[in-house]
Amino acid sequence: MAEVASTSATRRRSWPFPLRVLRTLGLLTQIRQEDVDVGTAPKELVYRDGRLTLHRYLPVTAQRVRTPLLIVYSLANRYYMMDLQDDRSLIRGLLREGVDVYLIDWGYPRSQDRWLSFDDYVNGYIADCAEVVRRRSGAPTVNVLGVCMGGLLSLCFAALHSEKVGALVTMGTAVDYHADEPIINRWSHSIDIDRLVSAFGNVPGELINLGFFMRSPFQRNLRKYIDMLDAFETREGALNFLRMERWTYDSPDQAGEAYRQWAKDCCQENRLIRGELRVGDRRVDLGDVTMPVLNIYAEKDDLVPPAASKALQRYVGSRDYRELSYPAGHIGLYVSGKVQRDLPRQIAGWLAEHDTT
Amino acid sequence: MPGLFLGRELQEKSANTVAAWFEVLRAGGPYAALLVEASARSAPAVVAEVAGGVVRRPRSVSTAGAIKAALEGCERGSGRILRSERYCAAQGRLVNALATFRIHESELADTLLRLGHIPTRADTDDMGRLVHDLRRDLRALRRQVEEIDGRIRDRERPRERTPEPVHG
Repeated sequence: MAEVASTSATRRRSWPFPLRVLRTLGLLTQIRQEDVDVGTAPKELVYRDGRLTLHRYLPVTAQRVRTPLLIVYSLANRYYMMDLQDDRSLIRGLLREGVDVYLIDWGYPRSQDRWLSFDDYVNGYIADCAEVVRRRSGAPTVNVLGVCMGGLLSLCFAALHSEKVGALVTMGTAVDYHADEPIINRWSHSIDIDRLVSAFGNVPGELINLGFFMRSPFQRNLRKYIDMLDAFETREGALNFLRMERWTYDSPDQAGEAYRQWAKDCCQENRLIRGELRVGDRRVDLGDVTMPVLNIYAEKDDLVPPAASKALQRYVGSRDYRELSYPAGHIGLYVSGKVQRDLPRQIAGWLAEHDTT
Repeated sequence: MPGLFLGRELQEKSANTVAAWFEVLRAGGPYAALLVEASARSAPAVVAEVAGGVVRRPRSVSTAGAIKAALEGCERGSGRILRSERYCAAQGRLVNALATFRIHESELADTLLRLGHIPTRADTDDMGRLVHDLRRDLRALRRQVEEIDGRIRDRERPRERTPEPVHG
């Protein structure tokens, strides 16, 4: 049956272009928004604080790693990139490998959240979530996996609360913001961040998305709508395309104060590696990150270039530091089928090796 | 321009808003010019990509393939502009001008709303700040309570383990 579908899909590729466009539009009208389901791995809500929710994913096999894993996702996008669909889900992969997975969903900041700073995120939200996870699991520490900007927050947390973190995994995380500086960071140098935050309060997700769009307007952003014709040859292909599209344009606003600190202190002044980044009344010294560290980066990442991630090795205090890289882009690290075949196993294996519980 | 009709505060804020809008227009000009330049530079690259495709595979050029080649040409042609210092500066000037306009526009709107006894953005911002500070205090208090609670439990634990003296 699948073979028949595939044959007819191949045949349709030779149809005239306008017919293919019409067929795609026709299929688009048949798909409802609720069909484009994302983040479907079963989970339970274990803690709530304001807009933040902490979820525990229901185990699917015996626990292989005793210390629970807390995933700290980026503030810039939505967490379900980690569980986009059944066959492209880092979370499902980790569950299959026997990891006890918790995840922080930051929610959508509203105007009254504009005062949230790194201090609130690191010493408030992440510290509280880590404590909830620790108590529930009975483990003395938690393992932390920080994704992109969540990796930055996780590094700050690990440096300031090293006794609470068993092992740290960072994924696609910039540490040296001026190494092989990506275009989107260079653009930020000419923007008056204070004025931007004063004007908007929270920095609109649409504005940030526009920045992502302009870094490659034609190849990355418009070309996909031509590739969409191929994707829409099958309903499943269409749903896969639409899930990615949903995630791409689901960008929450950025809490003003946290954005100010990230853009000025990290992107413009590169304070993290200079040991001058302040979170609350304390200075973040990466030398205090003494637990085992696994740093995962994408070799073709144009948002967080490998050099920006790999710099961590030079500044981190841990003697047990390992790097893992994949020939993928920034997003491919989470959604590439090839990467997802290996990555969960690699992470779980490394966590099991360093399980002290 | 000398003030007419409006009170001093409204006059000042209106003038600031109008001036900020003119700055947006002034900043928008060079930015738009750069986009036009990027498009102009794309054109030869697009022609080269599409024509190259036709020459390489004259029989198998599809519409989709031609559009993809054109997009690749656009990207290549405009890429140099979008990555230039000139673009960076022009974009920064435009974003800063828009932010300044928005600040002045909000101030003007706040003044007008206050005349009608309607809460303004500044008022809700103040309230947001207050709620934020209260939540931080609450979190600190909650942690203190948990710490004290833990200490009490620790103190009671050895007592539970000690067997009661048996009398008689």
